Amino acid sequence: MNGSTAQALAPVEIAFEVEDLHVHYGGAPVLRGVSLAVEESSILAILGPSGCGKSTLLRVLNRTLELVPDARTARGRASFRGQDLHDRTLDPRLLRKRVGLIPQRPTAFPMSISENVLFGVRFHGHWRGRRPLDLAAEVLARAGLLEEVKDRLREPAARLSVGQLQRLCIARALANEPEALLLDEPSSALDPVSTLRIEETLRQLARDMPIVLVTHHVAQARRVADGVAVFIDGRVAAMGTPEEAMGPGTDPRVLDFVEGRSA
Amino acid sequence: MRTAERPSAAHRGAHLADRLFTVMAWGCGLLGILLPASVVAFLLVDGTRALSWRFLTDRPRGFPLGSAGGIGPAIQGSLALVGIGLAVALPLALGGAIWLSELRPDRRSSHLLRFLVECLAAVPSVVYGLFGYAFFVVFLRFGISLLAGGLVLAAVMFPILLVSAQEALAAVGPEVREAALALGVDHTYVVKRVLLRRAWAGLLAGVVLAVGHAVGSAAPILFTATVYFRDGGLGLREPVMTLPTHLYFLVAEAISTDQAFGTALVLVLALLVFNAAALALRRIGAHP
Amino acid sequence: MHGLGPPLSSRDRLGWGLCLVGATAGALFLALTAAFVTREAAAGWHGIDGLAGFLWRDAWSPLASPPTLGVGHALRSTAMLAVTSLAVAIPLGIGIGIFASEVAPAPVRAVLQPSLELLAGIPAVVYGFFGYVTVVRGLEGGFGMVSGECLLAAAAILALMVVPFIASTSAEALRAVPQDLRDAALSLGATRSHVIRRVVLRRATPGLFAAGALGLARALSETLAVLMLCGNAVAPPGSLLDRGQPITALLATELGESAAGTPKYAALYGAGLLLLLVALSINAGIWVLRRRALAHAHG
Repeated sequence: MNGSTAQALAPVEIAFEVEDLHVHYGGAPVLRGVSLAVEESSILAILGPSGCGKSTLLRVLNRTLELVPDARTARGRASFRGQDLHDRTLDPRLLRKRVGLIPQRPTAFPMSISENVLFGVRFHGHWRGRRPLDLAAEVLARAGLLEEVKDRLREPAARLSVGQLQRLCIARALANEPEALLLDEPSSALDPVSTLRIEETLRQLARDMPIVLVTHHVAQARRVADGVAVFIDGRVAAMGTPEEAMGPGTDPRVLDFVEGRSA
Repeated sequence: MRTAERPSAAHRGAHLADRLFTVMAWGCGLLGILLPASVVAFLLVDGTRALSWRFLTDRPRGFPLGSAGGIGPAIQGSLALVGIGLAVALPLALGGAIWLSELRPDRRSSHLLRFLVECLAAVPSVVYGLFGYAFFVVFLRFGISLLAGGLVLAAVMFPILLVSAQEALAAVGPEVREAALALGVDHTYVVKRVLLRRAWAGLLAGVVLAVGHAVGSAAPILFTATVYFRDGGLGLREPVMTLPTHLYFLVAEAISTDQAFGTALVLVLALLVFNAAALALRRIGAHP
Repeated sequence: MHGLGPPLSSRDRLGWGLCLVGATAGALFLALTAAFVTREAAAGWHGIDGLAGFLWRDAWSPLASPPTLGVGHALRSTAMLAVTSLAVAIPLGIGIGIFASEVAPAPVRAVLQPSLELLAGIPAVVYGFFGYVTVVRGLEGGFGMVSGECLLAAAAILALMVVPFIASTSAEALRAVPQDLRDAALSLGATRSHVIRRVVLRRATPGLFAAGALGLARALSETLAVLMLCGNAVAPPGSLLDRGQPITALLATELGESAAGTPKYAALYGAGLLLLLVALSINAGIWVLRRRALAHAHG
């Protein structure tokens, strides 16, 4: 890697740290001893077949796991910048604001495009003197959606296409001024052009914050990620740079997945 | 081809039974469409004669009283009674529906509560009349009044409102709640800004159905709210005239068949409007 | 499918508290209803000649001296009305249910559904009036009866009123039967009517019983329509062409003319309590049958 000397000199800062994490859904294990670290200002892609626990990890990182009625963290630790995520005294609202999660299915709330973007701001109140429409426009620009919607900010968001909706969800999370972003298969329903636009957006955002990207596209992980973790059956089967984790020397089950021999 | 060979007697019998079955099923189905249509058509034919602007706004007149004039005070009274009932029942039912649908209590308590709500819906309406008379009219000394009748109608509407609101909220997908909560907002905010807005059409359809049912129901208010004749404004502690009880008195005292036709038609037309509105709202609710 | 999780703020906790008030309001109202109806029945019960006298031995003659307060005639009328109307409404209602769930093409179903809702929604008092100008007058004109008000007239209209409830509940039960069960039987070469009779109806039996029970509950508790058509006579009816007075009609006729606390008042509330208990037991039965129907259909 070209930048390896520079990286070795600067101390690596860790944003998310997960150690030996076990999560059960009604007694059935979903995560079975996951350990990984996400560095500041980088994109970690989590790959793996469906049902391997990828989304569950994201739920742990922004404390939405407690919305699943019978889900339970059985063992292990997870922290964000030194803050224990399982701490009972931690207010889930504040953590969810700091760590934005963009769920798999893009969802429009029943209100205008600008009000969708300002959904979190109206609750948390971090206006800092900015006018609502200006703030909405600024955030939409960062999510790469402003050009397409600038003339209809007051129209219902339900009229957007799926690709636009996906970027609206990113904007909604960005308006919260998060310190980290988690994305659950952001391009599962998108055409190639929209996918590339989102990836471009993510690369820009990663200059300022750590991003965890759950995906099942190997190619996408190679394009955007600094690091890759491959989940098989609730465990991390391979981890490292994309070349290390998915290269020839890796776990044979990972190779099966990468080369499309397992679902 | 097998079927071209001589079919056996058993085969022919089965075929005949199939035919007969289809004919009978269609017969039942057509009856199901024709019966309501003919009831409405029957009332339309004789009721439209009585219907006029004056009939809708004037007070009952003539001798015996009610054989001429209109049903204005009865319409007023019905609206006031149902308005009071709705004002009491809707907030409670909405709260109950949100509690059952969003807080997701354990299976046992949610089943128990749903069972009790269905029991409430199963109480015969005349028993509500008995209860309302004993409790509101006599025990709480409200007298036969708009207030007592409105509270009884609240009990009649409550289960309809709760069940339909719960269904409307359940029709909002779980991903909507997750997307909202993932932004760090609290439940109150999600319910107010997202869930109620997303479910508005279904909620309103439930309100329309409950109101349609309450407007036509006479047994609960016969002893708690109504008198045969009253004109001169509404008062919470005063009795009222209502459409269904007016129709009952017109028929039971053999006062006027023409006026009864008019009153019955007004009730049925109101029901048609309510049902059509509920149908349209449920369509909107299914494809927001 | 999940809800909103644990409360997140103090206003959430307040909100859930208010919602809980709404959730329990129904239970409270139900308890209050049962309590007050029982209380009123108990208050003047001393004037009634025991349970046997009340239920079948005594006649209803509150003005006699000494007055006797039995509701046997009303129970008999109620039973005759329920049996007669359900004998028509159950076959017709289930027939419509079969048609709606198994036979009807989508456009016909789109008309049938709102028609049944209309039939179910027409106010009882309108049915009473409708029955008065059609059935009662028909019996007077066509059959030369002196008065057309009789149990038969009430039963005919009552049947019309309960059909939509039986139809929609049985259609719901039939639709809950899995499609692959039908497909499997049809692929064996059975005719459609055979599959419906032998497979679908059998599988949906608990749900069909629930539909019948719902019809029974509606028939027993219907008030205004039967009040306007039954003739309101306190003599025990001998045949369907006699006048009668089912329990609901007794209550509606007499309550306005009885003073609180008197034995007559207590007798009316006793009859009301009986009606309430029967309606709630049937409802509990329907609840059990429906849950079994759904469990069967999915199991």
